[in-house]
Amino acid sequence: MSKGEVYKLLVSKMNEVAVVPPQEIGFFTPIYKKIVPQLKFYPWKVTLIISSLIAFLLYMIFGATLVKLASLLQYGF
Amino acid sequence: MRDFMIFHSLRLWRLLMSFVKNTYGCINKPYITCRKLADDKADIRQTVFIFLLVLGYFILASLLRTGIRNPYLLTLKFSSLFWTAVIGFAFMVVVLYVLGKIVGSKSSYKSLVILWAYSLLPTLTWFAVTSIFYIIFPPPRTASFLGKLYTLIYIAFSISILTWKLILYYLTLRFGLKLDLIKITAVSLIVLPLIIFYAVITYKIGIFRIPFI
Repeated sequence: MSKGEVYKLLVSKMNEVAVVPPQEIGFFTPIYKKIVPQLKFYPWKVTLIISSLIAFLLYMIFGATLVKLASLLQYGF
Repeated sequence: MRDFMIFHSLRLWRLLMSFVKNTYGCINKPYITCRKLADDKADIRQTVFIFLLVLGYFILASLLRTGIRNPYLLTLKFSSLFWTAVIGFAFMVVVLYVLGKIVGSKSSYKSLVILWAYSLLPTLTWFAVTSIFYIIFPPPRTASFLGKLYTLIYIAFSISILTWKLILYYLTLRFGLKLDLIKITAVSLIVLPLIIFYAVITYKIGIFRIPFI
């Protein structure tokens, strides 16, 4: 690949990345920048862990009522 | 004639491959994929495959709910499901576009249609898996060990699909409307009651128990 082609690729990549400005939410920006890359690059790792924990937590709180919710959801289609 | 057929078959094949690549991207790298889909160069015609999948799902759902004995009722069920979903899709795109314009976004309908169409993938996944599980493990669930185990797995699956949907919804607003988090939150506070309204209406008229959105 020639230098010209590499330069064009870099410019197009920069234009692609800069399509939206970086997110700034004041005081919470450092926390946002720690959490969001996990969802950006490993969404299912985070999602599966969190959803399993939430399901378990819901079961600890609601117990057998959660079974009724699952039955209701199964009729939901 | 033969060259014409070959040319159009190749174009269709390329469109299909683009759709498959973007679907894989929406599952594993949603941020980068949605950024590419919001680009002006993205081809809107690839969304036709999503609508074909939606069509296929509604045929399955109509068969499951109505059965095959009464073709008139089957057609009626399918039509009501399909057209309500199309109206719901158009409603969401228009609402997001209008709200985006109100908060100062520079957006086009094309990127919104592409991104919102791809955000139907989690919806389709949940509905299809629920329909299949309705056949394999018909409800109601019991409070036995297997019932509780199934409940935990199903609830965890539903929450992860919902999270995927929320990620794609957020990315639709981020790249489709070019909004920041504060404006996304403001838009969402207006969109959420409208979705609840749509869900209640479709439930009351007996089309969707859970909105296909």
